[in-house]
This record gives sequence, C-alpha cells and structure tokens, in this order.
Amino acid sequence: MIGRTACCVAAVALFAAAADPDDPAGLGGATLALRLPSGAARVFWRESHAPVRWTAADASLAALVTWRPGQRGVEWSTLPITGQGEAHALTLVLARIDPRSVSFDLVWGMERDRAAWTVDRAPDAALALNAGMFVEQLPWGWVVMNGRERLAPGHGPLSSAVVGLVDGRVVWVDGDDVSTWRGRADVRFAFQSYPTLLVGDGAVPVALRDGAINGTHRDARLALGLDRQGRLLVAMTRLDVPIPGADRIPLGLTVPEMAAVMGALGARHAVLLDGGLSAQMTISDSTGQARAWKGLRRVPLALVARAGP
Amino acid sequence: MRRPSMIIALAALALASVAQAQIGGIRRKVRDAGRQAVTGQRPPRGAPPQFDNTMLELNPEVVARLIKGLEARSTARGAAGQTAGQLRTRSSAASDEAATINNQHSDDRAQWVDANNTAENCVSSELTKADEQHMQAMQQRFMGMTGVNTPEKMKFMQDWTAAGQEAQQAAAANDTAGLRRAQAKLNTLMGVDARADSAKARATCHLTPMPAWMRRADSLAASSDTLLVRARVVEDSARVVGSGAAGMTPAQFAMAAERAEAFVALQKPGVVGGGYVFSSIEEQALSARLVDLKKYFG
Repeated sequence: MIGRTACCVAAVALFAAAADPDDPAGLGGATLALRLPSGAARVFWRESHAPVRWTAADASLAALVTWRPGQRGVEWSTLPITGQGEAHALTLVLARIDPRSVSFDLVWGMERDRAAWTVDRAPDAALALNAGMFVEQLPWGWVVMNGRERLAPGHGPLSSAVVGLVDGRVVWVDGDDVSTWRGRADVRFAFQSYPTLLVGDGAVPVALRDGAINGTHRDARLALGLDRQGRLLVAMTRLDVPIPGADRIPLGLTVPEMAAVMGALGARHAVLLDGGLSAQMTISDSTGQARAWKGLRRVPLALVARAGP
Repeated sequence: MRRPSMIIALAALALASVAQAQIGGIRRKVRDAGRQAVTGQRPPRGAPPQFDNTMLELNPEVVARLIKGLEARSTARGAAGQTAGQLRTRSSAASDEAATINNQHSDDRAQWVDANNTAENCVSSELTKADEQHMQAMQQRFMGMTGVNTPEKMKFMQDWTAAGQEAQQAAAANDTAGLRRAQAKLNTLMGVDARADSAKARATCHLTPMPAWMRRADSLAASSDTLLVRARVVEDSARVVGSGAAGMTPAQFAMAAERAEAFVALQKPGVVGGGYVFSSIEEQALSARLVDLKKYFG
C-alpha cells in the first residue's frame, strides 16, 4: 500500500508537469479511441463524458473486435487503441471464457521463499494469467485452493473476489465481504484483487470518478471481468511502439480508463489484477499453439483454464 | 507493495529531463514512437517531470541506503524469531511434503473418502434407528405411568420437565454447551447411553479411522497454511523495518525498492534495456550494485 500511495502521489505531480501537447490545458480530459486500419481514430470514451454506469457493450468497439477461436470455451482477440501520452499506441489483448466449457484451477506459484510462476509453466492451458494482487512475495487477500483456505480474506472497499464453485460456476463478489462464501464446502477456489473497476451491473465506483483513486498514473494493466452472458472477460494492455521489446514496458492506461475498457467490452463486474511487470497471459489457439504475452516478474498465484468442464 | 511497474512508468516520466541530456526518456520515446506509428509525425516534446520527495534519484548513496534497507527487510523477524523468507520456505516445504504424500496415494484418498461417506451415512442411519427405539421405549414408559402417582413417578416427571425446559432455553439462547448438558440429563433419565449407541453404530458400519498417511498430509497442509499467514504478517512489518534502516520514509523506500527490482528485471536477456527507463546516473549506480540487488530481486 505504501508503494502504491507513493506512486500515486508522485504520479499526480509528474503527470501534471507533463501535460499532453495536444491538450496542454487539459480541458478535454482523457480519451480512448480505437485505431482503425485507415489510420483514423474512433473515440469510444471521453473522461469528460464518462458513463457512470455501462449498461451495454460499446457497439463501435464491439464491432471492431474479431473474436478468434481458442481452445473450446475460449475466444481471444487483439485491438489497437490510442489514448493520451504513453498510451498513444497500445494493443488490447482480449479473451473471453465460457466457464461452462472450461475448468479453472488456481495455481500456487511459490517455490521455497520466492514467487516462481510464469506463463511458461502453462503451455498446455487454454488460457492462463496471473491472478490477484501481490504484496512482497505473497498474494494479497483471500486465497482458496482445492477447497482449502490458504490465506484469509483481505479488507478494502474497492476489492472484489472471484469464487469458483465445485459445480463449475464462477461467482463474482463485489466488495470485501466474502463471509457468504467463506468456509463453504462448494467453494473450490477463490481469490481477491483490487481495485474494483465495475460493480453491480456496470457501475463505475465513485472512487474512480471522484479522484480518490489516482486517475492519471499510467501502467500496463490486466483486468478480469464478468459480462452479461456470464463469460469471464480478460483485457491486458501492451505497448505497441516500434522499440524492440517495448511491449513489456509497463506503460499503458489509467485505472479509470481500464474501467472504461471493461465497460465498453460489456463487463458487468471487473477488477484489476496485478499489472505492470507482473502482467502475463498465455492463450492456446484452436490448433493448440500457445501465444504468450510474457511478464517481467514471477508471480505467486495464477488462474489456469483448461478446455472441458 | 511491489509496484515496479508503476515505478518504471513514473521513473520514465521523472527522468525525462535527465534523459534529455543523456539517453532520452522512455516517456518521450514511447510517446514519439507511438505518435509516429499512428500519425507518421513527430510531436513536440512534453514538459520534463522532476524527482521529488517520494521518488529519489537512485544515485550511489541512495542505492547503498536502499540495499541496507533491503537487507534489514529480508532479515526482519516476526514474533517467533523467523524472517518472512524463512516462514515462506517452511510453508513451501510443508506443502511440498503434503503434495508428495498425496501423490503417493493418489487414488487412496478418494477411496477412503467414498468409503468414509458411506460409513458415516450408515452410522447416521443406525443412530436414527437407536433414537427411534429410545423414543418408543420412552412412550411406553410414559404410558405405564398412568394410575397412582408414586414419589418415584413424580420425581421422574419433575426432572424430565426441568431438563426439557433447560434444553428449550439453551436452544433459544444458541447455548450449545447448555443444550448438550440438558440433552445429557434427558438421556440419563431415559436410560440412553449415547456413547454406547455411537460405538455400536460405528462398529456395525465398519467406520475406519483416517489412514496415518492422510492425517500426516492434512497436518502438513494445515501447517503450511499457518506458516503462510505468519509469513504475510512478517512481510508487512518487515517493510517498515526496511524503510527505517534505509533512512527513508516508507513511501520512498517502497518506490526505490520497486524501481531497483524493475532495473534487475530489465537486465534479463530479451528484455528492452534499462537505458530506456533509468538515467545514466542511476544505471551506473544500480549496475555497480547489481550483484547485491539480485540477492533480493533475482
């Protein structure tokens, strides 16, 4: 928390000093736009007119997403977008997963005293990504694996929990009260993360709109959500600039912008997972060939989906 | 918290002014490259960000203090005299041993659980039967009490009524211990030996105890989890110890540590060079202590 606070404090000062040359007075606020093949940009979100609640996916964005088949129950896509500053050229790596067609496992990635999991450890997964938020070496908050609680719940109003049940259903919990699910025999896995991006049915939390959460710091982001069809949605940002290896540089969107991405994709609920150096994901295409977006850090916890319930 | 990503981003911004004279900041580079990719045009330079009281420049003196703090953080001990790393290591060892035992008996647990569930259902059924028999015996006893009231009958009825009321009150108050006591009194009055009933049912149903290997595996798993919880507590307190030893505020220490971790990560093969995100002063200072830093972030 200390680090995050420090970063946020610094970010406010730094970004204030480094205004966008296109909008030096900051009058228009941030925007997010799709980068079209023609070279034009189509804006799908403006900070100055940001929805308080996303009631449906953004049609212009949805129309440009070409979902490709992965393993059964998994689809994925990439989408070029543009925002302000370092977010001028980003690629969104997207995935959506039908929980009824896959089985999830929460994988513990600690070896001796260090976090050790990377996407390289899940070459046969339909999809795998780092799960939760990490404090030092260990995950923050609640961790249940194979029905066994390994770590107790964490508390914070902007946290969310993802609960996997024995029958294959995935339940989303807004907020830090997991007492309804804690200790239940039908909970197979669970983890928490923060900050929450969307609650209830697409509502953007007040803290993301009133400045309580830093709205200017840019970072590589990884978000998990649940859409209105009950599918899990994953969105990860990657820098898309012609510098070798730049896709792993942790620059990208702000937290409110990431909420907008998830809302525009049609998520009802969404939460950030550990981004920056930690963010990593692998997806197997329909032929079983793995595509990996690697991170720069080994992580202690991962969510792995395999085809078949 | 480990937030090197934030630090890198901030570092890139903060260092842009330094980088202008040295290597060029990642913020400008990324922005320029991105804009070129999108529009084919180079944009004007943005205002350079500055270091501040939270983000310290990682010069040799600051890096030395940081390493002192990292060492203090890694050696900080919890209430039981162990570091977070030691507790994590012990937790991993216990978890690994439990996994090994479980793997050696991969099908045995499921078989035992199935057999145990069947036996438990059987025991439950036997105890229900016993309860019904006791109830019938009780009803017969009450029916046999019609007629002349003897002192023995009166005493029995008084005791029965009192124990029944006690049970009701305990149940209303969610007093499980009280309910248990009241039930024991009722059982005594009815001549019921619950322990004997249970033993008989378990013998009838061939309820087998948990195998030793499974008890051991479950005990190790529980121990692993306990150690993990303790490790997380020590991690929290060690961060405060580390910042004190570094002579930094917790925020300064956290940021410096995370930037240093980012520097180490960016040295790995196939990763874009640290020169994009650190000033040459920082690169020199961090490179000179890379071996030391890898001890904490390697």
